[in-house]
Amino acid sequence: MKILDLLASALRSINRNRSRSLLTMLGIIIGVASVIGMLALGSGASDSIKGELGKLGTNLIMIRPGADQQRGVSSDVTNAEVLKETDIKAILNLCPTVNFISPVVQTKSQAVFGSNNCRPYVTGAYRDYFFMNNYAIKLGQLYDDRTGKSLQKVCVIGKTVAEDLFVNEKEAVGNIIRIDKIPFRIIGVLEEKGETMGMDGDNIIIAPFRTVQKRLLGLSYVHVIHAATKDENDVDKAVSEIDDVMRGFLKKVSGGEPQYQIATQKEMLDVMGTVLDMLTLLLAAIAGISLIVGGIGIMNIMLVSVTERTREIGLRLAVGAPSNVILWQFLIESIVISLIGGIIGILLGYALAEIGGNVMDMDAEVTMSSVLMAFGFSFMVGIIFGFFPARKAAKLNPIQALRHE
Amino acid sequence: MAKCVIDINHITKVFNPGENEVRALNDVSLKIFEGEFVSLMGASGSGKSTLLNILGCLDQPTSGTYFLDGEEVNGISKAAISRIRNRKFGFVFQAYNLLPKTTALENVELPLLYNSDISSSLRRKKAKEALVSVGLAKRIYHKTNELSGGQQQRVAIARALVNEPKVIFADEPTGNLDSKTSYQIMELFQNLNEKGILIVMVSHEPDIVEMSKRKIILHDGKVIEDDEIINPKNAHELFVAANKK
Ligand SMILES: Nc1ncnc2c1ncn2[C@@H]1O[C@H](COP(=O)(O)OP(=O)(O)OP(=O)(O)O)[C@@H](O)[C@H]1O
Ligand SMILES: [Mg+2]
Repeated sequence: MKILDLLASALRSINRNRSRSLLTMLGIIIGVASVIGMLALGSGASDSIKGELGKLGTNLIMIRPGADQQRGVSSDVTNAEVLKETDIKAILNLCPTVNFISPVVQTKSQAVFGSNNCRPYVTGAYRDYFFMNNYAIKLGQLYDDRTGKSLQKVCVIGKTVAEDLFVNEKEAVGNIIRIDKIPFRIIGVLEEKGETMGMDGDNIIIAPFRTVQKRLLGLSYVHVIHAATKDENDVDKAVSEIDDVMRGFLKKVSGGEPQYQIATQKEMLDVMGTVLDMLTLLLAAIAGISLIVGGIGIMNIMLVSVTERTREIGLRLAVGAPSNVILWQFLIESIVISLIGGIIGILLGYALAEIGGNVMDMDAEVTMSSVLMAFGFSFMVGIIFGFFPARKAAKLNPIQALRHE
Repeated sequence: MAKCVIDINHITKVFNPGENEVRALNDVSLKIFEGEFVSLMGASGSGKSTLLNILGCLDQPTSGTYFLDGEEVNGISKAAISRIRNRKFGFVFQAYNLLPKTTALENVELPLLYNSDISSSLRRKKAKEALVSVGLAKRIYHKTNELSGGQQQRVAIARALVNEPKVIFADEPTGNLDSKTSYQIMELFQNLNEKGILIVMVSHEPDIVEMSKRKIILHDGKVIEDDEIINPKNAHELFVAANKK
């Protein structure tokens, strides 16, 4: 019997039991569709989150007080007051790759205008902070605090704050608001940043560093230092330069342990990316389980089919079908069923990715590799789960099979 | 003298050896020659079907030897036995055993499907010819479940014919049919036998057996009678006579 005849006979047999074949395929269809859909949505989500994080500035380096967490909990060397504004000058002078730098203090305060109020994050920083963190001005202007001398009571506000306090954000510039009872004049409104992982990036007020540090918080130290390179590729070099200065010139060590941590946005992006990729794989693996369940479904139906068609098999054997041809006939039938299921599943997966991508507002692209994988997998499922029933059919004794009721 | 096609010696067949042992055939020896039309008779359970299955290489004897066309069957491989059934034999069963939901043509094509020497167009041609020869020219594309019992059995005979076999084995081919239809089937067999096909048939209906040329009676797995039928009845005449009544 030729392969084409076998294929034709498999297709005829599938067509003869159309609804049953479709039900058999269902497991494969759902499995393949969800694997493809999950992979597409997962990588789409991962790309869009990476994109959002990228907006925060990939050249950014953050210096925080505290021992490196990786070296275990060592609270005695942790000193929240370890970073001073004077460190800024040393880093800027001694680290050639560092181009932008700013001390940062931050607090959550109440802001009031007339009878309206809100609770934004208030950040005190130099002008460089805006460039490092990709803030752009929409209305008005930035303050001119490059060196930290300014004690001016001016501020730049985010879109959310503008909307909370004013009827129209255009009215905001020039008005005086009170932050923790201290009056600040609004000199600018920022471009919208949008939401990043559930955090409103526009519920912020940014003011000159010393104004916030001294007037609002009454602090003598710095919460965090933000630094940035001009070129993304210099980030690692900058980190080691900063580390050298902090350790050597500034002597921010206690008992041999540094009292600070240096983190980069890139690192965070990498970690985030790894986590997201793992999540995507996990989802796909869970979806993959349904492929196996689908395979067991095929095996079940093929076994039923072998039993149902015992007389037919007996007849085929009696008229001279070699048992290996019978084996191939059933094997090809189960392969064809799972491949058809696979193809329908792939189409459904495309639809799933398209719809899911639209609903979640992101690019969920089905990759060729996931399609090939799904196709290969359904082929394997057909072979593996079709083999046992096919062998059972091939081993039948023709007379007993013919007598089967 | 005609050539010996089937030659079995001291064949026994034991089912369920040990407890509940059934000795379906007990030391049976037979020679069947070219051109014969043999009927196997006997009470129910006497071993007719068992013998026919062994002769048709569908089953193997427990002991004894079987020479087919002078070649010993016992020693050859399963694949070779499949090939013999496919090329030399045709089978007709009491229950027709047609494939459900398929056309008469597809059913008749079936044995040729397993003969890779035959192209699909030749397969189709031969199957149509076989159907025409059993008088089903108008039923070629009918589904088998749309046919009467007699027509279904004729499809089965066409299927047995299509590979131009040397021997046709038929187990109670008229068992499910009324007498008039039975005569038509027997007429087909007689015509095939005329053309030189050896026919071995199981039947327990004496009037059907009278249309063959040799009657072998089994009892408890042994041959107790083996007679030539001197003047076989002509199935066509019987059919015409039955129609006149
Ligand atoms: N597969 C089997 N397993 C066990 N015993 C069997 C088997 N096949 C046949 N037999 C037994 O062998 C004996 C002969 O059976 P066989 O089918 O040859 O009888 P038969 O002459 O064809 O009868 P009938 O006219 O009823 O068809 C019976 O006693 C039967 O029970
Ligand atoms: Mg019988």
